[in-house]
Amino acid sequence: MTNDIPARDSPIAGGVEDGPVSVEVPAWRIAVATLGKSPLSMVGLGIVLLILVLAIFGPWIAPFPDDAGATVNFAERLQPPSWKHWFGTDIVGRDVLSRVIVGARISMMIAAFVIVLAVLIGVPIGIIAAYWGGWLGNILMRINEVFLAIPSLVFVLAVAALLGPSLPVVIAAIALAWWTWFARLAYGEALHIKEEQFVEAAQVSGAGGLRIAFTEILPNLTSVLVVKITLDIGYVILLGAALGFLGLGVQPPDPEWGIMVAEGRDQLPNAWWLTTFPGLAIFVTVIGFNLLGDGLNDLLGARQ
Amino acid sequence: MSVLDLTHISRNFGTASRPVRALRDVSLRIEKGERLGIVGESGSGKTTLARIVLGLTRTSAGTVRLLDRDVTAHSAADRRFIHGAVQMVFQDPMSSLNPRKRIKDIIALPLRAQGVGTAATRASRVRDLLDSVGLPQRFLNARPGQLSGGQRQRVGIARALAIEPQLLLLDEPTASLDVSVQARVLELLVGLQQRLGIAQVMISHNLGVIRHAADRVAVMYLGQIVETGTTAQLYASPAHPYTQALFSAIPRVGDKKRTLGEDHTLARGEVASALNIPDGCPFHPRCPRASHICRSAEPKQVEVSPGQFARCHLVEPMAGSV
Repeated sequence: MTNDIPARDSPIAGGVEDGPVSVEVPAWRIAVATLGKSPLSMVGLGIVLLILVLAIFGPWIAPFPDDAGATVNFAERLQPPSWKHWFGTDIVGRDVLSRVIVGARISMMIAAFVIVLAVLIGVPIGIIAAYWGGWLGNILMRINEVFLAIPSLVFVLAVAALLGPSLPVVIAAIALAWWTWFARLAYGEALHIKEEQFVEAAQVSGAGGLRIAFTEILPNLTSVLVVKITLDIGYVILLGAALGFLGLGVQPPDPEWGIMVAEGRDQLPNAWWLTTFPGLAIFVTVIGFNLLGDGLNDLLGARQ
Repeated sequence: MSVLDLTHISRNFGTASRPVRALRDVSLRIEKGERLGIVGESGSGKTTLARIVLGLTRTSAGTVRLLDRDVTAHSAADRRFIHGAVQMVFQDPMSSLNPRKRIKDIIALPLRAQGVGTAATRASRVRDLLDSVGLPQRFLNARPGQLSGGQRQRVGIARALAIEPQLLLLDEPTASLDVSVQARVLELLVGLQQRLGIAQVMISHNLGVIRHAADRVAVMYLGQIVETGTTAQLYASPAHPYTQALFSAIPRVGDKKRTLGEDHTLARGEVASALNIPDGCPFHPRCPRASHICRSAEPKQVEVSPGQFARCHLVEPMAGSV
């Protein structure tokens, strides 16, 4: 109200209320400035950007890109870390650093597909259940609870064992286990948002249920979704790696981090670098997405 | 043809054994271009009445006729008809505008939702609407968070006018605004009414606002209309003790003798619950003039002067009326 300037006389009763629109600072600049104050969030952002760069440009960055596949170089097998092979070499002489770098793409690909699928399935179901409520909401949320009750790793293992391990199966299986979390989140948020007066205003305007659900309620979910997506990317990468480790995920010779840890296990007392570096890659990536997610949570939570 | 004709409307909430009787036998008629004020304390049924007219809540009994069409059943077609004829300005300009949308999209929503015009005609209509509520064009791409309370309420008014409704409901449109801004929003509404001739129903418990914004007033108490009449009649000679109590509670500048509490017409105690409405006249526990008949029999509506009706045992019916 402090923006109001006394009205000038005008032919329209009430006068022109000509208070200035508050200066619009681009949202991203506020975001960068706020996030910048939290060193941990910046570390998270740095890690996430690094992983994204590796995932996109990995084959061009890796010193021995061919080692990502099924190459063999017995002359250099099981070498400890050196200037030539920073992370050492594996049992058939492949450069571990190159495999870790190229492996970022597989992990990010699993995470990206899973999250996109989970959001596309879970968010509409959650919003529809919350907005319509009644028997439809009940059915949708009971189905959701059935899925929630099964531990995701057990569910994914069962699906992968049933359909045979491959990348599309892994992605579909994790997504089927993961949509429930997005449905739950969207349901809770939408229940709260649907009580806002602007939803009633939209009903009075003649807007139908689908329009209200997706153009009035959904846009108000974006900040919580962004936080949840960021945090979940880390967890999906972890689950993907666990599947690889158990042999039910991506198959060798693809340089997936979980498989690399599993393969290195046999050489553990001596060739520690085979498990340590892929393990560190998983660890750092998950930590990175968590730190960024926490930072975004503080940032977006504070603005609401 | 009346714009709105409510006959014997009742609405109960809760269970059949313990009903919350939000509205009891309410009849109201609003003519074209008329401005009706509805006053009453919280819980008197004002909001339920508005929601019934808007097609958001069904009636338990009675009929709702909108522009000569019976819309009591609230079928899908009825609701479309209602949304095309009745619009609402909400109480809280903060939460009644979606914070994520741009002003132009908020104002265009009724047009878009009801499929009025093309994208181009809608855009020009939105610009005209901004003009007519006295907001500059540069607000088109702004979001609600960038506007002041008074500006937001103007956006709410523009949205309600977008489809050229026949009836505009105003639910405490000025309650959450600064006094200086209140006056300007009210002047805007008066000006729009004079230019467009839209019938208006203003719900308020601010009697000062109602005095300026209404031609006729209906006073509600515990789900009933206890008195109706023209604004002049009610402000000059309120008949029902409740109306008298309400109006005597208006503070007047320079009126040194009257202090709150001394006045015998002030209603005592709290408004009863709609769960447990007193027998007889629902107002009798608080009425300074209640006698034994008020405790036993429910009063009928009597005409106290031409066009002024009150539900009270103690008022004298006008000569010649039944």
